[in-house]
Amino acid sequence: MSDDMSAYKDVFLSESAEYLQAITDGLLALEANPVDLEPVETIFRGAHSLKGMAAAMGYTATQELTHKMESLMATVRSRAQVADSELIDLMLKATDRVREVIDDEATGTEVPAVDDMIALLQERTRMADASGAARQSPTAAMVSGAGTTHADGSTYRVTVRLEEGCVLKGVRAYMAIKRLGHLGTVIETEPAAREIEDERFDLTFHVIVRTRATATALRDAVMAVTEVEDAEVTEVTQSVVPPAAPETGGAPVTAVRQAMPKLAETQTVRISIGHLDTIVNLVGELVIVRSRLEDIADRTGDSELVESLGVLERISAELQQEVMQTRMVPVGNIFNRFPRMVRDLARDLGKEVVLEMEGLDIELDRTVLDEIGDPIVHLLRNAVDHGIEPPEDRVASSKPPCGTVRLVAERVREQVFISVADDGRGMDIERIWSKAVERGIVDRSARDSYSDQDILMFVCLPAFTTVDQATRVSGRGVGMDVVKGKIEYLGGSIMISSVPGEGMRISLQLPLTLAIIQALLVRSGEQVYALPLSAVDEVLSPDEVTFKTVDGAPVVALRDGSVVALSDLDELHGRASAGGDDRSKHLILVRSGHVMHALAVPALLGRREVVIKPLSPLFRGLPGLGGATVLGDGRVALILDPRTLFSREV
Amino acid sequence: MSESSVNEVRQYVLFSLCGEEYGLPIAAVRSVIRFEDPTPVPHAPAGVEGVFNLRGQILPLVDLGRQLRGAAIEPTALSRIIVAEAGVGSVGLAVDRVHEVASIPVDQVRPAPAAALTTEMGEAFEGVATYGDRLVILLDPDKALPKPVLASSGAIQEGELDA
Repeated sequence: MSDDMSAYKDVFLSESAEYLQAITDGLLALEANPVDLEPVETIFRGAHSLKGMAAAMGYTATQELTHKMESLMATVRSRAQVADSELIDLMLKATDRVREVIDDEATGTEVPAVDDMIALLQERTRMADASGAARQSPTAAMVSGAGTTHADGSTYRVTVRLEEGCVLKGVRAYMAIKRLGHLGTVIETEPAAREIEDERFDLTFHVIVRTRATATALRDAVMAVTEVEDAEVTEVTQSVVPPAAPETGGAPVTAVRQAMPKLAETQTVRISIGHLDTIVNLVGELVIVRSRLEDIADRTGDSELVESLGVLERISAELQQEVMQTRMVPVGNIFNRFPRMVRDLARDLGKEVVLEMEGLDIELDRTVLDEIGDPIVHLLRNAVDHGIEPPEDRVASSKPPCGTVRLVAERVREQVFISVADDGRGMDIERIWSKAVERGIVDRSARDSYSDQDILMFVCLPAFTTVDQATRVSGRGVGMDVVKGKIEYLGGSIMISSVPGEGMRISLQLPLTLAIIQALLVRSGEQVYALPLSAVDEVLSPDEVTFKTVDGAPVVALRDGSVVALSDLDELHGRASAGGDDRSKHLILVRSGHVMHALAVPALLGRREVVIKPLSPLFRGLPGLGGATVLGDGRVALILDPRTLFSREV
Repeated sequence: MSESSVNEVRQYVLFSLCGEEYGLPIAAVRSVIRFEDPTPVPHAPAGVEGVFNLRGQILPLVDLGRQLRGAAIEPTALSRIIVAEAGVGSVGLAVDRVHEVASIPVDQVRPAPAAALTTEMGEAFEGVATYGDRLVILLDPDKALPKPVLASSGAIQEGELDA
């Protein structure tokens, strides 16, 4: 029993998050264009569904809050009041509160009182009653003759009364509803179809139908059914649905609400990430077993086995690709929380900002997506806080008072580009330069040897900020370096461009997936290691370089004259150099941050695509390791992390 | 048949190590597999022999002999790896051999002898119990494991971004 409830709870939690997101999206859309009432439906439906779900779970505070939100939105829907920014604010705050309350109710912690929020919502709802009563909106207009026909039809409410003493109520009602169904789409019945079937109604029932047929045609169709005493057809127009229709004795007219497509009605299923990871692992195992079978086939030379293995290979390759595809998630999944964030931030700062988003359907591996949320938040905050000027300043420099921030995702072959661009003040390259000089990062006289692009990248240095006064939002100088570090950790890169006075743009280049990387397999002793190919600059043979020492430390001089530190993979891994002489080994030039290192390895095994597996927390903090992978023969190979590989040696 | 609630019984997986018998709570045991040589991990915490592949998952292998008795186990055909769930996730524990699952009444468990508690790993011993004519040392899986390397990680930690 309690297991059942907890299963429902998980569903409730994930669905409620979707509804809350839909409500938020709807509110923001409504704020952008208060005249277009379409988003109101989404908000209304979201609140309504949440209310129903919360009631089923026994979450009374959530139920009550969402009920009041629904009532308030009903007044907006009936045009009894306008959704001004105060109303939107109130609704957004209420949405936040619902989110908190759901968390509390779901975890069983004590729910703080929601009376204050309910009072606010009620107060605002009453403002409509005051103004709305005067304007007595035209409700469902009686239609006796020809109904108005629109291109996409109209919605009618058909009230059917059966004759007194009718013996087959259920059948008659069924006939009437069926006939109406021939003329259009039956949206809803009152009471519900099941109850009508069971004859659980008096003599009257209602059918909401959307059709291009005229009211007269509808009426005729119903009247043709035996034992129907009377049928009354009224047109229901979308914008004028009152919270309570007087005609029907207070029963809410739910036709329009129900007619809307349901939320997230797509051909998808929810799968927990854990299942996906298990499937990926199992597919990996399958590939390993296959290669073992191939070894056997090679030994025995059984042609039938070889042939079957060929098929197995093709199938397992396809399976692997499909499974990797299931891990891809559209960036919209994390982008959807940004409009609210940007709006709130802009309001706090007294700025006007529009966030435009593009490429929401571009997909990234979930491992990458999970990691880039925070960096993007940081870039957006920077754009709103530092990029976009206050409205007065913008007008003074003949720009529109409202700034624009664009968040765009694009896919180019095996890479995804995500950029944040604003039309704000841009970055002052000379100011960054003087700051860099001040900080002793560069020498003043070297100005000519730095391109604008190089100078802009200084903002990614640790503790470099040009904002003298740190604001609450950003400017503490612990931002861009972390963003850059994270993006590079993901195997991506960052580019900054800026036009003073016109804005700036930061572009992140990201790999599609983190789970699979191209690696160079090397061997040290018995062990195989995988070195991410993205960090490998070049592979040299010993006779292409000159071995030297600087201050006792081994270095190699390259042919272009540069000198790089030399490390030996054997020694890095706490083993006496097995090959004895570095001169007999291969030299790999590895980029570690900005620094180049030469790594001497005894044997190169070639380039391979490897699936990255995490290492146990027991190894946390161990430098030089980025994970592990399973080789074709089932053995484990450690993946080297070039960023920390060389930090151990002193 | 009916067991009185007073005599609570707990189940342990019994295994031997250097001639002595130990027990791990069954709730902490995920599976038992044949011993396989791990891939060594350089600079791993003391007691961690390396990593091995369990159906695509890479797990650390702890030699319980070395960890508890100061002497690495000698792999034989009977050697096993007990895959246990601990606070640090799944861990493989290499042992000399695995016996049966034993039900041991709670009131049969006595505190470990003081002498055992003086050793470094003393806190790993939950107690001792007699099972038939055998003496079984009961382990707390979390405390029997090596501690993680404590150096700061190179990876970016959550919350490090400018908030």
